[in-house]
Amino acid sequence: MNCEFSSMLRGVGLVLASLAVPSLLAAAPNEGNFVQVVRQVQPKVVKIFGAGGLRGLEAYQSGILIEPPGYVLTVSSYVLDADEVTLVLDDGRRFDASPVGSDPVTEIAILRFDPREEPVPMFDLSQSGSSDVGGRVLAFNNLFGIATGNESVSVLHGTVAAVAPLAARRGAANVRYRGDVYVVDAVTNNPGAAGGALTDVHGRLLGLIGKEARSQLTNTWLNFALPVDAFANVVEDIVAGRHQLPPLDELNRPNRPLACGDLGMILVPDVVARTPAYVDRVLPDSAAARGGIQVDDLIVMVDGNFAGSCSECEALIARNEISDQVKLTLLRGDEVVEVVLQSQEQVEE
Amino acid sequence: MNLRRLSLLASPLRRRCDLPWVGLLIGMIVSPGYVALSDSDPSLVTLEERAVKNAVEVVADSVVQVSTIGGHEKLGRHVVASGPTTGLIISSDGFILSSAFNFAAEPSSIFVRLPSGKQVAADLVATDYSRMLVLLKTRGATDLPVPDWSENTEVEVGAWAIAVGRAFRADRPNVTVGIVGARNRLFGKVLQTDAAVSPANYGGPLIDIYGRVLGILVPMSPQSTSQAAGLQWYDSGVGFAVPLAPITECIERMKLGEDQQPGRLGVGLTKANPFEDPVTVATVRADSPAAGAGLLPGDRIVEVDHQPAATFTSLRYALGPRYAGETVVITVLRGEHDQRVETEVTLAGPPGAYRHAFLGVLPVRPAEAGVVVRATHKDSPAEKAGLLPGDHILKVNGAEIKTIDAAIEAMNGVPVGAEVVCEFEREAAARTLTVTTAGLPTDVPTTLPPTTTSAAPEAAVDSSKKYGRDQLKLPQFPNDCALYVPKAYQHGIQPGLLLWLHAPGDYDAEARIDAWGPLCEQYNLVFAGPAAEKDDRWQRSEVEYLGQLMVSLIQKYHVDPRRVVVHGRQGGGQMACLLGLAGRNVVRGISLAAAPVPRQIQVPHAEPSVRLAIFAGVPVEQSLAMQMREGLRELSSAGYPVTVVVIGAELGQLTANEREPLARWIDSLDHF
Repeated sequence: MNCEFSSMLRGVGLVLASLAVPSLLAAAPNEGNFVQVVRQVQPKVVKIFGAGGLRGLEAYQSGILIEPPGYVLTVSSYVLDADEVTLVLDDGRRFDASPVGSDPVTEIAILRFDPREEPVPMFDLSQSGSSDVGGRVLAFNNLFGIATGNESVSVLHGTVAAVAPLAARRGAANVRYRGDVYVVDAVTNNPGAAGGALTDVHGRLLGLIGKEARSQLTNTWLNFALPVDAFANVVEDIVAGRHQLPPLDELNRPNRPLACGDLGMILVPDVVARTPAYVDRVLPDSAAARGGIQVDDLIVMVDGNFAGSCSECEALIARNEISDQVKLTLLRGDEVVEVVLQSQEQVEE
Repeated sequence: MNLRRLSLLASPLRRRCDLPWVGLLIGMIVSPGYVALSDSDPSLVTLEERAVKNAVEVVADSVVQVSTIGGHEKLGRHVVASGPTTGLIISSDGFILSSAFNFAAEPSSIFVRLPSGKQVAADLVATDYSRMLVLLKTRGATDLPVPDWSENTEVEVGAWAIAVGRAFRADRPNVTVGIVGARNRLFGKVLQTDAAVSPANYGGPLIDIYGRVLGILVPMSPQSTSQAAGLQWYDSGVGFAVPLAPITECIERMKLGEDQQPGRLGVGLTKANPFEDPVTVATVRADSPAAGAGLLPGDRIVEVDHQPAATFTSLRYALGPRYAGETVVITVLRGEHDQRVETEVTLAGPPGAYRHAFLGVLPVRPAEAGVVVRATHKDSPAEKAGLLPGDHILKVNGAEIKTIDAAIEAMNGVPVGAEVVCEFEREAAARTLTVTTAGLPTDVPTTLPPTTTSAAPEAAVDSSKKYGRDQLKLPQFPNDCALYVPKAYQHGIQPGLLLWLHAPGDYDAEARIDAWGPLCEQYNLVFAGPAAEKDDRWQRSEVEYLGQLMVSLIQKYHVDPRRVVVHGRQGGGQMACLLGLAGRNVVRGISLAAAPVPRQIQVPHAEPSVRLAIFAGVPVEQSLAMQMREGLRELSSAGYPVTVVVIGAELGQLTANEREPLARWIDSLDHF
C-alpha cells in the first residue's frame, strides 16, 4: 500500500475537478481543451468493487471499458477474487461482471459483463496514442475510492517523467513485467487507482495505470502506467479465448550459467554487504589471463550493466551461457578498461 | 501566461541560441503526433509542452548519470537503493555537483557517464554539510558541457520549474514539472518547488523554462540535518533546490577538497519568543569563536553584518546560509546602558567534545549559608593553590557565588587550563587566589568528610516523611519498583538518587537493599530498584518508564539534582547507558558494571550545560573487558569523564568493597 501519508494527501489534493481548468481556456477558447477531453474520457473509466475490505486491503479498483462492448480492462488483483464483481459506470449504471482471463506478466485482467444492449462508451485499443518525456498527461482513476455511485472517477494532471523499463518490486517479490512503462510526475498510483487510464491531452489512451510498486532503482513508490503496446495483443488473445500463459522466467535462464571461475578469475571474498567486485586472483592459461585481467582490477560493469558488488557481478555473469562471450568493464587505477572474455571450454569444443 | 511569449519560448530564439544544434533539436523534439494539430494553430498546452522539452534539451547533456560501487546497505532504517543517481557538470574539466544523499552510503567507487556515453571514474572531492551537496571530480574528461546559471534574483515564485534527473535511463533524462513555490526556504538556503523531487533526480538541476539552472535538487528538512532528511517528502509536493549563485565561493573551496560546515557562533541564547523578543546571549562556550571575539553572557545581538538581526528568527536567516570559516560582524548591546559593541566573529564548525574545567572543590551540603569548601580533590588545582576545608567561596572570576549551581555555572564558561580568580573568606578575612583549572577528575576520592556541618538534624524532623523500605508503582506502567529511603529524608536534607537496574533474569531487590541500605544512610542516597517488565530482559521502550520513574522520585524526595545516578549490570547497564545519554539533562552519572556500551547508540558530545560522568566497573574477564573499554573510549573522547575500576566477579553482584567507591563517587558528583 502506498502508505506515505503525504502521498495520500497529495493524491487527493491534486485531483483536478473540471473546475480547475477554465483559466487555461480563457486565453484560447477555440483550442482543444482539458474540459472536453475530461468529459469525453471519464465515462470510459469504471469503478470496480469486489473482494477485500479487510486489514487495510481496499475492496475497489479502477478499470476501463474497451471494445468490443461488454469488456473491461483492469489489473489482476485480489479485488477480482470473487465470482462476480460490480462495475459502476460514470452515470451510475451498475453491472455484474466476471473475470474472463488474466496475464501474470503484465498483470492485466479482463472482465466481462452484459451491457443489456445499452450503449456504453469505450476505448478502442487500436486507436491509442503515445507520448514521451515531458509530454502532458491526464490520469483517470478511482484513487482512494473517492468516487461512488454516479460520480465520475478522479482526474489528475501531470507530465511523463520517463519512458523506461520497469524495475520494481512489491514487498520482497519483483514485479515480473520488465518492459518500458510511462513514469509520470503526478501521484497516480494510490490505493484503488490501478486499472485506470493514462491519456494524453487529446484523450488518447496511453496506458493502464499499474498496481502499486516500489522502484528498485530509487526505492520509492512509482507512479506509472503500462503502455498500450505492452498489453494490446494479450487483451486481444484473452477476449478471443486463446490466451496462453507465457513461459515462466526460469525457462529463460541459461542451461549452464557462466561463473567467474569458468573465466579463470576469482573475486575477493564477499564479506561485507556490498563488497566491491575486485579481482583477487587470475588463474594461469585462463580466459581472464589471456584477456589481460589483472589482480586488483575492479569489475565495474558486465555487458554494460553496473555491478555494484561481488554478488551483483556474479549474478550478471551468470545470465550468460557458459559458452557466451561476456564484456567486462574494469577500473584499473584511474583507467577504465574494457575486455571481452570467453570461457576456455568453448574454445576447446 | 502570455501566449506570444510562450511561442517565443518554443522557438529557437532563446538564450542558448549560440549553440548550433538548438535549431535542429526543435525539429526533433516536437513529436509527429502533434504536428498536424499544432503546427498551424498550436494550442497553449502544446506550446507549454514544447517549451518544457526544449528547456530540458538545453541542459540535458550536463545532467550525468552517476553509479556507485560498494558502500552500506542501509542508512538507519532507510534501505539504500542500488540504482544510479544524478549529477550536474559545473566545469568543462569534470567537476560535478550532486546531492550528499546519493553518497550517504559511502561507496568505495564512483562512476560518471559522460554525455558521450563513456564511463569515467570519479572521486568525491568535498561535502557541503550545510546545503547537503557533494562535489565530484572525474578522473580525466575535457570539454564537458557546462550549463547556464540563473541569477537567484531572477527567479520569481510562480515561474515554471523543471526538475531533471538521469536515474531511470542512462541515455535520456527524466523530467518532472512544476513551479517555483518559494525562495529562501530553510533559512535562506534553498528554493522550494512543487515539481516532484525524489531519488530519481536528487543531484540533478532544477531549471527554468529557458533551461537555465536554478539550483541543485536535494532532500532537506528543517527538523534534521542527516543525509536522508527530507526523503520522506519525495511525493508530498515539497521539493528543494540549492541555488548556486550565492555559494560560488563555497564551491571554489570545495574544489580544494575542503568540506563545508554550517557556521556557528557558539553561544547559547535565552529562551524567548523567536519572532519578537530580543536575542540575549545566555552562555558563551569557552572554546567558541564568540568567546574569542569577546561576546559576553547578557549581550543582546542586534545586527549581523550591519543588517538588523534582533530576533532569533532574523538571526537564523542572517547566519543560516553562512559557512564555518566565514567572518561576520556581530553588533551587540551590552550592559544597562545599551553600549553598542561591534565585533568580528569567524564562524566555527560543529562543536567538538566539550571538556569542563575543574577547580577541585567539594562543597558542603546543604549550601544554605553560601558555598563552603568541604574538601579539596586530591592533586586538584584547588588543593595545590591552597584552598582549605571551611573556606567560604565568594566569587569566581568576579561572578558572585551564593549556590553550588552558581559555582558550577561560573565554571561552565571557563576553558581547561585557564586561570580563575577565586575570592573567598577564611577566618573572617577576605582572600584571593588564582587557580589554573584542570579537566574533570577520573579518580574516586579515597575518603570524604561528612557532608553536613551545620543544622543539628534533630531540630527539623518531619515524622510524616516515611523512610526505610518502600515500593513505588507508577499507575500507567506495569513495572514495580523497590525503594530504600534514608533517614536523613525526615530531616529535610536533599538525598542523592541511585537508580539501580538489575541484570536480566536476576532481580532481587530485597537483597540489593540489604547490601545498599547502610551506604544509603552513610551517603544520603535514595535507592530505587525497578523491575523490568519481562524479568529476562530490558526492552528499549522501557526507557520511557525509567525516565518517568526518575522524575517522580526526584520530585517526591526532593533529590539533589547534582547527584542523580543510573547504575546497571550487564543488560541493565546497557539500559542505564541509553537512559543516561537520552536523559543527560537530568542524569549526572552513569555507572556500568560488566556492561558494554550498546553498539547501536550514537554518543552525543559533551556540552557546557551538561555534566555527565561515567563510572565503569570493568570485569577481569578479558573479552568483556575489551568490549567495555572500546565503548568507554568513545564516551571519553565525547568529552565525559570516565572513571574505571576493576571488579572481580564478572557476573555476580558488586561486593561490599566494590560498592563503597561507587557510593563515594556519587557523593562527590557536585564537585566543581
